Amino acid sequence: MSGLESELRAAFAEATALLAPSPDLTGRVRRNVRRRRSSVAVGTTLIAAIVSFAFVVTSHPKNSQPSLPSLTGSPSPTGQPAPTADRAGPQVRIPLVKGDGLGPVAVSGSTVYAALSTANGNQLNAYDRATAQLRSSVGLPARQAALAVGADGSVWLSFFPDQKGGPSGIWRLSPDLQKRSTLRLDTPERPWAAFAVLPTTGDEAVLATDHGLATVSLPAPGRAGLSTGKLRLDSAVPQGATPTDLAAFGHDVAVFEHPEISTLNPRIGIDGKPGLVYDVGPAGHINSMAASWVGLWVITNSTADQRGTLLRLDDQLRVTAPGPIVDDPALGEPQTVMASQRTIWLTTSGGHDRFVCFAFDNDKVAKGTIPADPAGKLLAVTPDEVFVAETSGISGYPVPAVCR
Amino acid sequence: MRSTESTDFELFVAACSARLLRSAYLLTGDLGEAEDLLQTALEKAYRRWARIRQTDVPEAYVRKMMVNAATDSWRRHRRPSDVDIDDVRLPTVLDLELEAVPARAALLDGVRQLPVGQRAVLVLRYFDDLTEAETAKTLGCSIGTVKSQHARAMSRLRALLPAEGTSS
Repeated sequence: MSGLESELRAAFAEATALLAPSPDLTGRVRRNVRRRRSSVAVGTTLIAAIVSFAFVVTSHPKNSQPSLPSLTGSPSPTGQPAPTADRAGPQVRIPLVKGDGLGPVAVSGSTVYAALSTANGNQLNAYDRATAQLRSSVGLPARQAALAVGADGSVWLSFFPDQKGGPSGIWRLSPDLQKRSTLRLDTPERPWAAFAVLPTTGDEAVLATDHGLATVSLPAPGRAGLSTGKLRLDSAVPQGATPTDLAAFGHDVAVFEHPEISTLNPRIGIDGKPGLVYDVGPAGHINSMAASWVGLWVITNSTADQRGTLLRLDDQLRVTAPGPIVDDPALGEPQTVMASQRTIWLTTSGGHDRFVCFAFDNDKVAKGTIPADPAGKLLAVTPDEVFVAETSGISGYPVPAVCR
Repeated sequence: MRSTESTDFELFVAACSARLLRSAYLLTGDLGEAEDLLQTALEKAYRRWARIRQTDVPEAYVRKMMVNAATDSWRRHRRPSDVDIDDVRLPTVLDLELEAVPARAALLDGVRQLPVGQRAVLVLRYFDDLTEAETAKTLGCSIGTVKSQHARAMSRLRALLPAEGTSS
């Protein structure tokens, strides 16, 4: 056997040693099979009912031009279809204790990770996505700031002190939160506060810090190795601006930058490509950013009336928003945007549906919504589930079929 | 499903799901996708369990469904990082005796960049310990295809990894 073959065996074994399936895997399989069977049964019944109804209507002599009831909602005043309401309630609801503060939330596979500030301190909890049961919990030394899950399932979490004090640092935890590797960010050479973290490849992640973009490398949780961190001197962030959010955009990292001078506007850049910048100019400012498979989505707000507009940027940060999106009144006044693969989620205001999703495909836009609490807050999105903070806790709603 | 079949399925999942999840993770490179892949394959298996449990190796049956689903999924959602074998010029001379052993992290990154068919061959051969014939059966192709995919994958890995194996 060649050295490469034996190394492959060792590398495969090492990379997967910590992975374990959900304890409720069999239950989830059974529930999904039953749900699909009942959906098929309901669909068959519905089709039969529609066919019967159509037959009755068309065979009635007084109705030579029958109009069948719409199954996708009535058209909006502009003629565009209104969002399809998916009446399915939440699939899961993770209860929270009244008075606890909910920080960032991330979802990976069968687990929902939520950072909380409780009476007992700050903590990171891992919940079963199907049953909402608490699987594990770990105390944090300071208030959590950013949370993200890498492709290998390891959980990256940054924290820095609030008024209660505490250290600044970043952890990389195993999916079960039982093991971790750490890097302090309050040393003389790294006096940073990390606002956002984006795991990139292998052991590395990009941080958005108050000193600019940084790359950190932390060994896999539970493994020996050196944790390192250094500022990115080649980043797009100019002097006098602070990166506050990051998004994986194709092969690039999109950076949301806030100027330290309040009269200047926030802008979006691409890490390592100083020439690429999107800046809305003095007429408005950028409010929210999310990357999908089909572009970088931003919400800008007009300085004059604070009205929000959804835009799509291409990989050169050029505005390529197609008319159906910008002009669609059903999307209301967008406030925040999140995306997962090809599904884009918006929270809107102005009397429209609070949570609106759409799948963008060749300029065709089909919209959907969920019956979540209008006072809720969008927390995290996955291709098949959207998580919303409601008064009762964290609710996971199925993504409407039209948005997938 | 009868209760004995249901219990049987439960035992199967308890015994094999960890191994299958790990295979799925190596196939997809993403834990979330791996869990989805495994669950989808198990749902298909659950519906046909009465028949699958009669086979000698239900695990092989489920693994085949999983590999097929991974290939289909990859075809549907082809990502920019996926590189076609045709786009890569293979080194013409490989000195297996002199090859250096690359760092494992770099090796895994290299595996993730392989086309899914080649990656599947490596995972089935070096993680699941299948023979060439078993790999061919799982992938639904000939042994010759497995051999050629394997050779290309190994060549690609050496080509992707920095300088090792090709230095003079």
